[in-house]
Amino acid sequence: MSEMQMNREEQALRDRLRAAVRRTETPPFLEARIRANLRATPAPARWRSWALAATAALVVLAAGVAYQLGHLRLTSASQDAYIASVTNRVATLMRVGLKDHIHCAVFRKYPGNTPPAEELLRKISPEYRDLAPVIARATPRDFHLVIAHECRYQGRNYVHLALKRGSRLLSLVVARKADGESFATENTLPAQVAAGLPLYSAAVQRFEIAAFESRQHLVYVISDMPAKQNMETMLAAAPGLKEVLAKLEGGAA
Amino acid sequence: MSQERPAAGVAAHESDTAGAVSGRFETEAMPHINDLFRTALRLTGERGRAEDVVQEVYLQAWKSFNRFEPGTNCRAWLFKILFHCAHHDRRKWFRFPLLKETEEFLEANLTAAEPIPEHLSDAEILRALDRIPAEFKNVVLLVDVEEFAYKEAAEILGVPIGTVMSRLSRGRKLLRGSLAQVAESYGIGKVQGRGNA
Repeated sequence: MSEMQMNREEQALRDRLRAAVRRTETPPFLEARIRANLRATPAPARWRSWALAATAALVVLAAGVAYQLGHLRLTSASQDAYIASVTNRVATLMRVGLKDHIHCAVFRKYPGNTPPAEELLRKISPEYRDLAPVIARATPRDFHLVIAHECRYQGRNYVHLALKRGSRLLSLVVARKADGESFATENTLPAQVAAGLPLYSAAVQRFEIAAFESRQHLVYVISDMPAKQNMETMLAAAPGLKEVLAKLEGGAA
Repeated sequence: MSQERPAAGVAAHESDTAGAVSGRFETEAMPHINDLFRTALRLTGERGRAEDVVQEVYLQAWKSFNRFEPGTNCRAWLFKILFHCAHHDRRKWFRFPLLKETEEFLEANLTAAEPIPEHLSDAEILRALDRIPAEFKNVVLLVDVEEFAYKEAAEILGVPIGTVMSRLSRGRKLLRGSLAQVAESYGIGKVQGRGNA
């Protein structure tokens, strides 16, 4: 059989096959049944698929947020890891205050109704309560006290006052010095000197740190305010804080 | 085929957009019922199941018609849904033939080109078509009967275009062999095919 003859025959086969299949009769009721089915089914709408996509996106977002919250707030090991990863990027003595700020003030769910300042201050020793009005006067307007407590983190005791204004957070952290601890011996250069008191500063991520030292204490103002505003708060508070601590330490300010 | 709107019963309280979708579905999808049914019948082998499959195809198409892009080939889109539905239907009723069985069939049937008997009825031709394995029959149906391009057939079946071409070639050979066997069983092939009339 020649190739041309084979091609003709192939084509003839296809034509006969097509004709045979196409002569199949469709049941007359099929179209009516299909239409009845479609009538019972709501018309498709684009908003439904958009709504589904939006819902899926929200679920993913919520899962991400929940994971992050859980990661940052609920797991102490991951909290410690985060604190270490942040604080390791500042000088050793700056870490002392920053650790407590993140541990106590950042990783905290604040109640809707904050108790009055007097009630909060009962949680700290009377000799430290005078720190509260000093820092309250120095902070920008509308900050209010949300934490006042004595705490312990990684083997060190702290007195911690935290103030909030909306999402802004500011901590006054006071820690007793360990033997030999001093900004002077750590070779940290002061950012400025106010009334003979050297003030030190550092910044990491969104945390701005201003610090000074008394004879027995390390004192920090840490916030997520701009660096200038954070330092101004420390400048305003430092003389009063120094005076309160001097009384505690049994010497002149 | 009547020009009744598919969702006429609910169209009155649907939004204009839904009405437009309904109209588009009527124009683009509904004219292909016959094409889909005859292919479904060849895929399932039973009229009742073919009817069910085609109804399911239209239901699926209606539900997802908002995802169909106007201007693209609605017939090809419906055939893609058809093969998907038929695949599920087949899985529900039958196990798939193992690859080995298909190969054995090919070995037994892919012989030298058989002459095509001339006096075969539609029923005999369809019987011969139904005897060849599904993966080859599907391609023959799409390309030779429904006249889809290789690329469209490849998209409908979800296989590479090269696979479509090779399956078509083998499918046609198998069909010739199957036709010869059917003819022989009726005593036609020997007479007509071998020229001993």
